[in-house]
Amino acid sequence: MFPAKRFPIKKQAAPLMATLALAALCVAFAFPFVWMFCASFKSDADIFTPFPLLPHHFNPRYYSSLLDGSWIPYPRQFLNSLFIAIVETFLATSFAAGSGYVFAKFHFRHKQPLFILAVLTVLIPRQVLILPLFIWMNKLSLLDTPWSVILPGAASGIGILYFTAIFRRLPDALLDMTRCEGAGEYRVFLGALPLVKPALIAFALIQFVLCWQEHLVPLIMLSTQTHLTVTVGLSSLNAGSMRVPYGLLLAGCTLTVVPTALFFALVHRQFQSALSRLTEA
Amino acid sequence: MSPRRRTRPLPFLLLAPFFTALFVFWFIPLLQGFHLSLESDDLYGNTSFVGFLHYRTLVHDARFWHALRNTFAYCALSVLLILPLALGLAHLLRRTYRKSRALIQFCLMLPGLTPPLVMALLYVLIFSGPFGLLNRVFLHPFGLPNVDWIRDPRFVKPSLALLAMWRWTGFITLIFLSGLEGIPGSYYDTARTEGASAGQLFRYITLPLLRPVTAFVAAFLFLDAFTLFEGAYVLLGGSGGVLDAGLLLISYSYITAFTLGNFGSAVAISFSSLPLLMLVLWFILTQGRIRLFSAVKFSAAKRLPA
Amino acid sequence: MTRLILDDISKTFPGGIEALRAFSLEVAEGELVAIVGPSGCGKSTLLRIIAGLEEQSTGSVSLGDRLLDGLPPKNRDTAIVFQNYTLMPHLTVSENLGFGLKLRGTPRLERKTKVREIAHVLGIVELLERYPAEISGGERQRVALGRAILRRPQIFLFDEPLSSLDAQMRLQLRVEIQKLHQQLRTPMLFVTHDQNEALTLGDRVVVLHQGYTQQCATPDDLYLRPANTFVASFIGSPGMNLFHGRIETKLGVPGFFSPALEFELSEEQVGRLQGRSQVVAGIRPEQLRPADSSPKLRGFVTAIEKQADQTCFYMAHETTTFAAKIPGSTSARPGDWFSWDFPSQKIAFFDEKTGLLL
Repeated sequence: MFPAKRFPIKKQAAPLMATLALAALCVAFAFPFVWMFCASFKSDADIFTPFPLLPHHFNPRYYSSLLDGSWIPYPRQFLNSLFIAIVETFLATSFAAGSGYVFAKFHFRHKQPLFILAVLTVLIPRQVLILPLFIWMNKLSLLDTPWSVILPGAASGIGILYFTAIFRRLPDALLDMTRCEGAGEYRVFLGALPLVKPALIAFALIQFVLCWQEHLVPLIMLSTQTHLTVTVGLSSLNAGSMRVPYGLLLAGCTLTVVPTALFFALVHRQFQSALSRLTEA
Repeated sequence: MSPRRRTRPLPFLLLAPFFTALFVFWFIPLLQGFHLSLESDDLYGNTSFVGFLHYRTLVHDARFWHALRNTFAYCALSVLLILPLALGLAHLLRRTYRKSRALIQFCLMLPGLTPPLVMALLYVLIFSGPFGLLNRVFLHPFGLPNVDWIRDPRFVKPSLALLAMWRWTGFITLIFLSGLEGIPGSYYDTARTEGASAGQLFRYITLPLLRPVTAFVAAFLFLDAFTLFEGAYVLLGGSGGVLDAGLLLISYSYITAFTLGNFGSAVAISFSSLPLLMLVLWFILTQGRIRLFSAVKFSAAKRLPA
Repeated sequence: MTRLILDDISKTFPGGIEALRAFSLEVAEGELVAIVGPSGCGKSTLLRIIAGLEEQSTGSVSLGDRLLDGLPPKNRDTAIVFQNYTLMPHLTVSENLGFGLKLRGTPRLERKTKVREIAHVLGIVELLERYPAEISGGERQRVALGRAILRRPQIFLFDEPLSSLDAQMRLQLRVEIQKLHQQLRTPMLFVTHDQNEALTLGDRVVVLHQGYTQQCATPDDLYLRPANTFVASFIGSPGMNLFHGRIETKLGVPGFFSPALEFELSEEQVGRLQGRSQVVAGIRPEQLRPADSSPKLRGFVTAIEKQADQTCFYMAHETTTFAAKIPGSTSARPGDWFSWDFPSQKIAFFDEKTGLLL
């Protein structure tokens, strides 16, 4: 921690300057979003006059046209995104947590190579394998279903690293106590889970956000409009041959940002502790 | 550490889901991909085995090397931009008023929470689109000429790097913040009584102790930049942009596969970038002396003490 | 002559927590002053203020003939040794030892020589190329000590340096520090929560409680003439027994009456009490002996602690508890009814309200 300056004036200046500098950056970072939000309510002519920010006439028509599916089946796509994100998060978290527990607490012959294999998935990410995955999914007749997006994401190499570190820091004594009381291994594992609840929540959070944001995989795997995720749907609006009103795009962007932003605001504290665990791990 | 008893079923049960998913949805595609890259580019079903033809072609493919250079340049640029900035911000954040911290963190994190697609769209709309805010706010006041951030080949990669910076700075700042807060204050106290200046504190205590975190962050950013598709996709419409200045490996692969229909070549492109990617990541992680797994130590020399 | 003068130091943290109140102390050349008190009483804060890591709310600190107020830590010529997290984990022992020298720009060769020298003195030469994580706690603190010595400070500040070591280590290092003290004659301030340590090491001992100085005296004085009930019960293991009772005259004889303890008061004691009707009497466990004649102190044994050459009795009578310590062993058991004899002239009296010695 850096020392606060000795002289009273300087001592109070430091936090102030720091806050101002950060505030300036925050404005720069957040302004586009604020603009996005406001502009989505503006009439077409006004959109490109960034100041004044607030619309003359509050005009939610782009939202209504998105939500009633006149351009793209937005609500359906929203639900698709939600479904995929939730299921993929659940699978990734539980798979990684279960395996992390084993790697941390048990010894067996092929542990090291298996661990290396799991870690290798981090070095060879999904995006690199997207083409063979595409063909494989086709063969499995899973193409254009949510599962083509969910299943490749179920094995998370980072998850293994994370949970192995988390469980390693869990004292064996706690688990041995349960064992001595006569619990079978299954019960011991279930008993260990509440102990790492913050880590589970934190990981699930990050997973959810990442899944929600996925673009390349759904772009390639999904084709029918009603099966698309929100991100792909939006990009189809942008890349489409017809001229789409900017307001519509902005409304779509806003709606896509809102869930994860809200999520973060709600679970901000757990997120912070997740990050500190990450740095310790 | 573990009880020495007869084989218990639970460990294998717990490992099974992950490794099954790994095997089916990663390993098999990996093998298939490799096999695919050895096949010719004819339409599905009519392919013939051509061995390493695609790879050999790539060696002479100027576009490929261009894409490779672009990708590595852009990845390196992103990392080099974000790391010092985030570290500096983390220090600033530590000194701000407690109450404003939450709001600042939210604002900084916001870009990280939004889909890269939205970010790219916003970027196009705001920064370089019809009214070029980036130019108006940051360049004109300083008397610098207008820059076409998307079409000008010199500025495409910086554009992408700026996008990455906008997206990740908040998140990385928070990570560094946690890292900084994890350093025991008594190290600084002792050093200060020993006569250390602020610069010396940073150089001899903060930086060395942040090394694993920094390496992790660098690896993360590099990997993310390497596999980021949306930036190029939205900015350049999936093409390489003017003079292919924005052509990234991932875009090139995508184009080859879906625009040109040459799956075999496309996979060869993806796969050939792998060795270099893994090399860079390995290098970064080793520099960070991260102890990943006691038997799989990432550092050969000095051990990072607990 | 190096003297540390602390004049009316007080520290209030934002949020209203008063860590130190009106603290004054003078440490002479060659003196080791121990500061002892329960956790949270402000001891560490005091050290940090002296070192310059914390700014005092009022009062001044001077070392030698220099006023330290306003000076940053590096200009204060102090060396501080913490309880843990003193050695940089990413540096070897020799790099840690030479850290301060390096910061101050000492040339490499000189650094190496000095590091070797101090390593010899402290007996840690074999550890020079090791990392802190690879050596024991005691060895780590030795290195920390070495680094402090290399600083050549005008005063050593020890912040509970032995508290996280096991008993044997603690003793060894205590001896080291005492040796150091004899050799260097540099003033030392030693903070600890272990009153045993304080009494053994200190030329003088300051007892702190909730930011206030309870007493500042030699170990003997603290033991024989505690200034108030806090000091009385804090010093000694176990501390002084305190009995709350009434002064009444029965059959013309003034006496002290409480559930467990009753005795007659001498004229001198009556004079000391100055007409108080309620008073606190104090007797040290070591002053008690098993009684045979008319018992004036009695109770049930609740626990017996057998130490090497002593036995410690924990007694209870109605709501009063007290302890006794006798040399040798005993055949008494918990649950036994036991009576004690005591030297009534040596009883200490404290005011019921203020707790001060009478």
